[in-house]
Amino acid sequence: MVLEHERHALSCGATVLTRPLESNDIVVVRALTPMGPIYETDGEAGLCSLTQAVLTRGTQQRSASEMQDALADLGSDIDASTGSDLGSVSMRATAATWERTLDLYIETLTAPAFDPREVETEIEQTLGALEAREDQLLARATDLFREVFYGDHPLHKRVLGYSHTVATFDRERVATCARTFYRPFPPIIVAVGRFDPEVLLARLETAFGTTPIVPPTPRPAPPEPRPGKQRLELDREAAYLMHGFPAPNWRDLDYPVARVLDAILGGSMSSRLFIELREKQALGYQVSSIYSDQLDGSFLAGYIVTDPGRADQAARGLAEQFRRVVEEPVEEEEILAARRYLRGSYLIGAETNSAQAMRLGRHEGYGLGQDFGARWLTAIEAVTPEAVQALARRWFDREPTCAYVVPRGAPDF
Amino acid sequence: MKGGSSKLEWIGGSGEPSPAPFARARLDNGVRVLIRPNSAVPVVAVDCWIEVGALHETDEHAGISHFLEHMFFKGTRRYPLGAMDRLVKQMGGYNNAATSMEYTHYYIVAPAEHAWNAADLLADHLADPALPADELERERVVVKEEIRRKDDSPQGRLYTALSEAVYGDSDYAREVLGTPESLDRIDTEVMRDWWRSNYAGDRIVVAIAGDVEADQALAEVEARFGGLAAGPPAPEPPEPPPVVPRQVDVRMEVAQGYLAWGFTVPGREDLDSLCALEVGATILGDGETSRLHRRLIDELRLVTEIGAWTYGLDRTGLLGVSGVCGPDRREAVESEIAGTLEAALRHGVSLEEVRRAQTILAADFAYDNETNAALTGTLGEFETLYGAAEAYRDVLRGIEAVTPDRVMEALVQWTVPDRAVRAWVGPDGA
Repeated sequence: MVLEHERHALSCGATVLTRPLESNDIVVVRALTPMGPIYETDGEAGLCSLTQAVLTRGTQQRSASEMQDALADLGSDIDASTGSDLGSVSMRATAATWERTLDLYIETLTAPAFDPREVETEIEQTLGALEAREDQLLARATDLFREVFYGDHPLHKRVLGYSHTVATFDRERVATCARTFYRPFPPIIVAVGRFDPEVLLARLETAFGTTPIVPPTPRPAPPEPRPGKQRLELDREAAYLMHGFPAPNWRDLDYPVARVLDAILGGSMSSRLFIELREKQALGYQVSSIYSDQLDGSFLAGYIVTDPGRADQAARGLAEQFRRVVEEPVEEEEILAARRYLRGSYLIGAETNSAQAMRLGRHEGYGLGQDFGARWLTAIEAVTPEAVQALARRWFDREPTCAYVVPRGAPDF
Repeated sequence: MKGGSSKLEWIGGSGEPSPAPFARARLDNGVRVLIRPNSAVPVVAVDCWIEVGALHETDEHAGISHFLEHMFFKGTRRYPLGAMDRLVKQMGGYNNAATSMEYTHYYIVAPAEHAWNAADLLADHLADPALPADELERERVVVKEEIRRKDDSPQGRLYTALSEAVYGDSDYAREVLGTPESLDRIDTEVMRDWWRSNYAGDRIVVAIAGDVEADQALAEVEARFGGLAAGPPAPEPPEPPPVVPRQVDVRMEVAQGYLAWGFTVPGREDLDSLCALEVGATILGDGETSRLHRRLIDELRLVTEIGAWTYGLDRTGLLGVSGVCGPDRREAVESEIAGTLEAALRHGVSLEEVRRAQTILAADFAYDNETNAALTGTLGEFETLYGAAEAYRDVLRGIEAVTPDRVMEALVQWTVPDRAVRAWVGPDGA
């Protein structure tokens, strides 16, 4: 379950993980650096995301459109984005084009232009995307859940930010943000696919030079999750309900138990939530769980999209499934199925070169060790019904966090 | 395992890019089998395609193919209700299904050691679905909920509106999900008839990709799918309706406006034109180097999203332009779309643009065929819709052969702005 790879160190201190493969023609290189909403103040919400968007829009040698043309002529892509605490810049090319793409990729990382006009364009694009997100109701329910759950901790914010923050950004803010999080280069680079590691390492070494990469900004203190209920009324057809609790983090001893419990509650179409709420009660088409597992501030929530006339029944149904795991041990057979499901999903989840690069990069970026997956997959073999119930009691026997997006005038519940 | 009589025909050599090389066989009952060995990861995908979708239905029972897709998972005599999902979970895999205008498909992706259990589950559910009456009632509610969810999404509403605007009240406008009323008219007898008359030999393709050996895979598949009932190919699709330029506006509580233009273009039966239009759509609106992106986003900052695309059914197709913008910008955006199209019609496209579009399309095809599920998706879809999985090569070659003149000729013939059918979803008062 550990993806074989080689580890290299550049003179500047950056770590490079290489995994040459012959199984297909695709080459993915991914650079990672800690950044995102967890490091932003409320007034900076969305700044990291905007910085990543502008990073790929032109260099000191090439305008945004020249860069786009050069990539399109190779059939290659360079993308940058950020999650709540880790940013990524990746390139995708074929064996025939990867070296030429790598030159463009290195140029993007080492000499971004942050052209003021491109910053303005990206701000406009982000403002539009924020409005479009308002139109996606499950996303709104998730945003609302995070607002309640994280309270005033930086993790409460949306990655894209808010229109009132994004509208205040400019070239200077973006350039400062890039300097803060790229110090001056990303500390982790991962490459997977049909490429020559020696060529990659030589080019990176030359490009990054010997000036040491400065250690990252310290991570803020972990959040203190909050219970509570928020409701948002809109002129729409269906009700979107989320109901959840804090859950173990990656380094917690009971993390493997939480993976098993999540697989029992919401993994696949034979999960408890799916069987009880969709198959038995026909309460909705979309029903599952989200285990937002992280370094800290993890949560496990159930969600359903349902008929507003039956929203109270659906909300009770979600609550009931959490209560059930607190009150009764799960079946041995459910644990057995969950183990196999988790092992298989882990294997299937790394089918593409891009997914493998992401897994290697995340394990490195979060300091979890490359055997992190193998460790928790081994640990789930020892999980018992008693351990699952103990976990449920520890984490779910409290007031939940609930976010409801419902049609206007829907009855209270 | 009893040996079968079917023979594998190999397509493509080991040096040919993916999805080749793969093998095909035809079982005695007409079921076609596609096998694509791939030992990159110990994973397998088994994907069963049936050539039945909304286009084959009647308005009375609109949505029955998709409703049957939901009922497929409700057990057989050998596998009771819930067993499919439970067993797939125990394999460590996932299963799902999809229904479109022209096909329905069911797939399981699992660790390779479970390949034949996965095949067995799918074969038995195709051959002997229980279709229990009480489950039919419950699932009807679930499908209605799926309709409600789609109606809450501005994009869902937009494509329904575009389809209505382009296809009027013809078979081509039928909603894959059906309507609450048409779903109410479907009982177990109607459902069973639909299954019996459509889930048969010549309309079924089984595609397998992953860590399997081809001869063994054929024997395993034949043992399980060889017993399915034989049956004739799908009927010829209906005559597409004449197109009348029109506009459909939908009001809902949204922050942004969502617009789509559609032009009726030839379907897959005229592959040459469809390839030229695909290159044309790529130049107009696929990605950051496209004309619409450069003009409407980079220069004017008028839209949040803009794109052009093609969609090909057998006898008719669409070239679409779709975008998302502030509701007050609709007129400006539509005027710019028209202007961009008119410039292409008047001055054509350059050789450089055509070459770039060809590179983008070829690279996307390679990137899109990386996983086993993607490989069975491509092979199964081409075998079902084109009658030969290797037809993807014709599409790739067709795109490679397109010239600037051919793009201009196709755009002039099919995409005159005055003939656009338009759909809009926006807030009240916009």
